[in-house]
Amino acid sequence: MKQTTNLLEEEFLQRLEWFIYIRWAAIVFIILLFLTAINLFKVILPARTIFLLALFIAIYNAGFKLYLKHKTPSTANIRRFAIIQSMLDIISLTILIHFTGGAENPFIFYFIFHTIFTSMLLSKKESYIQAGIICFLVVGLFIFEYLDAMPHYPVRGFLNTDVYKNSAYLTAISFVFSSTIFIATFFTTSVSERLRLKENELKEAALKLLEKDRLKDEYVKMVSHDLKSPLASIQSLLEVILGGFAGAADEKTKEILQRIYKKTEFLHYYTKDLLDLSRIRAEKNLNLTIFDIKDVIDTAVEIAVPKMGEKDIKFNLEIPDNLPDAEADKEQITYVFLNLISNAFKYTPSGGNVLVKVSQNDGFIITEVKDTGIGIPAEDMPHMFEEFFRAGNVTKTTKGTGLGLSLAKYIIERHGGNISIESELGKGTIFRFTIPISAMEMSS
Amino acid sequence: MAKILIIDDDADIVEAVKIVLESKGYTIITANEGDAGYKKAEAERPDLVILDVMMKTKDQGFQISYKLKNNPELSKIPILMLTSVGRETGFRFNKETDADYLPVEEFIEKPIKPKDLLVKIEKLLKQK
Repeated sequence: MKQTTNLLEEEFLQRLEWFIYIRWAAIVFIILLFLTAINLFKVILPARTIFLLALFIAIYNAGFKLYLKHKTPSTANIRRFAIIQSMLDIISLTILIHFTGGAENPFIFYFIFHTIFTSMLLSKKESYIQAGIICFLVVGLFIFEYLDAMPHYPVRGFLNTDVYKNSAYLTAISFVFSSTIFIATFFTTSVSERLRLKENELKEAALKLLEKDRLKDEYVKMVSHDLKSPLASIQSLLEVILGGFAGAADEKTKEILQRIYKKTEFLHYYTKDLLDLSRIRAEKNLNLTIFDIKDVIDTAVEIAVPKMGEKDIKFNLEIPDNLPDAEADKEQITYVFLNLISNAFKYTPSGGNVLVKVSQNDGFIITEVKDTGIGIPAEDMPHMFEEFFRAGNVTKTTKGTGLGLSLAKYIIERHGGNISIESELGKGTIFRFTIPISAMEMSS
Repeated sequence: MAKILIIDDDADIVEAVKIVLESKGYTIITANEGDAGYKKAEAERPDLVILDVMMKTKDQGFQISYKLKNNPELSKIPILMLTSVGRETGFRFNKETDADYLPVEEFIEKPIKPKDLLVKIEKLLKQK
C-alpha cells in the first residue's frame, strides 16, 4: 500500500497559523535589532526602508490571518497558500539583508530557520526548490552588490571594512551559506517525512481500532438479540408449567424448574444488558428532548421497586419544586436512573435506606443516589465503571453483569455531564452525576 | 367464550400462550406469520388478536396492526402486542405514548407471565 506523506489538512492549517505567530515575533525582532544596531553600534541604516519593509510584512501577515479566520481553504489552496507565504518571506528577508549590509550582515544565516520551518510543512521537492531560490537570491545579491550593479548599504560602526568587495570571502560565505541551507533542508525533510509516515500509520491504526470496536458492538448486539428470543420462549414455557397450566407437577419437579427459571432469568438480564450496551453505543445521535427529571425518577422507581423482592428498604426522594427541566435523551437518562436506583436496592440489606437527592448548579441538574448498603472496597473503586467489572464483595452474593455502570458513565459523559462514586465499605455508597439543564430554561 | 387469534412465528410462545388461555376456556386459533394471521382474522373474526412484532420482517407486527385497524370490519378487534423490548431497559413501548403511531390497545412483554396475560386479556375483552 502506498503511504501518503502529505500532512493532514487540519495539521497543515494549524502550522500555517503557527507561522503567522512566528512572523509577528520576527517583525518585533527586526525592529529590536534595528534599534540595537543604531543605538549600540551607531550603524547608519535606511530607517524608513526598514520600517516600510516591517510594515509590509505586518500587512501581509494580517492578511493571511484574516483569510484563515474567515475562510477554510481547500486542500490544494492550503499548499498554494503556504508557498505564497514562504516566497513573500524569502523576498522580504532578502530585501532586508540588502538594506542592512548584504554579505556583511551575519543575519543571513537566519534563512536557516525559515528553511527548517517551511521544510516541515512543504513536500520534499518543494523544500529543495525553496532552498534553491534562497541560495539564488542571496548569492545573486552578493554578486550584484560586488559588481556594483546594485547599491551597497554598509554597516559602518559594526563592520568598518568593505567585505562585500572581497571575492574570496564572498565565495566562501556563498558556499557555506548554500551548503548550510541544503543540508538543513535535507535533515528537516528526512525527519519530517519519517514522522509523517509514522503519524499516518498511527492514524490508520486508530481508525482500524474504531472500526473493530464498532464491529464488536454490532456483533454483541446481534448475538444478544438472537439469544434473547429463545430465552423468552424458555421462560414463557417455564411460567406455564410453574403456574400449573400444564397440569400438576410434584414439588421436587417444581423446585428444579424454579432453579432453571432463575438461571434463565439471569441470562435474560445479561443479554438485555449486552443489548442495551451495544444499542446505546451504536446510536450516533442523542435523541434530545426537554423533560422533567421527576418523571424519569418515578418511572425508574416504579420498575426498580418490585425487583427489591422481600427486602424492607426505605426509599426517599428529595427534589426541589422549582427544578428546571433537563435537556437530554430521555430513554438513556431513564436507563441511568433505573440502573443506579436498582443497584442501590440490590446492594442494600433489609432495613436500610435509599435516598435520591436532586439539586441544580451551574447549568446542570445534580443527582445523588445514596444507599446504606454493603459499600465498595477501596481497591475496586477505580474500576467500577469498567465494562464487566464487578466489585470483589458482590460477585458471589448478588447476580449482575458488570455492564450497567459502564453504560451509565458512557451515557452521562455523552451528555457532557460527569459521574462519580463515594463509598465506605459496609456503610454505603453515593453515586453523583450531572445532566444538562435545558437551554430554554437557562435563558428564561 | 371469546375467540382469540395468536400471531407469532415462535411456536413455543404460541404454545405457552395457548396453554394458558385454553386453561381458562378461551377458544384459540393460531398463525405463525403475519399475512397468514391477517387472513385468519378476516375469516374467523376473533374477539381479540395477540400479535408479535418481529416475524418475517422486523416490523411485520406493526404492519399487520395497521392493516387490521384500517379494515372497517376488523378495526374493532382489540390487539395485544407481544414485544421483546424489555420494560426494564427504559426502551419500552407504552400505551400512553405510543398509541398515536401504534394502533394497538395493549402491550405485553416476553417472557410472558401468565397472570399478567390473563389480566390484560380480560380487561381488553371487557372494554370491547
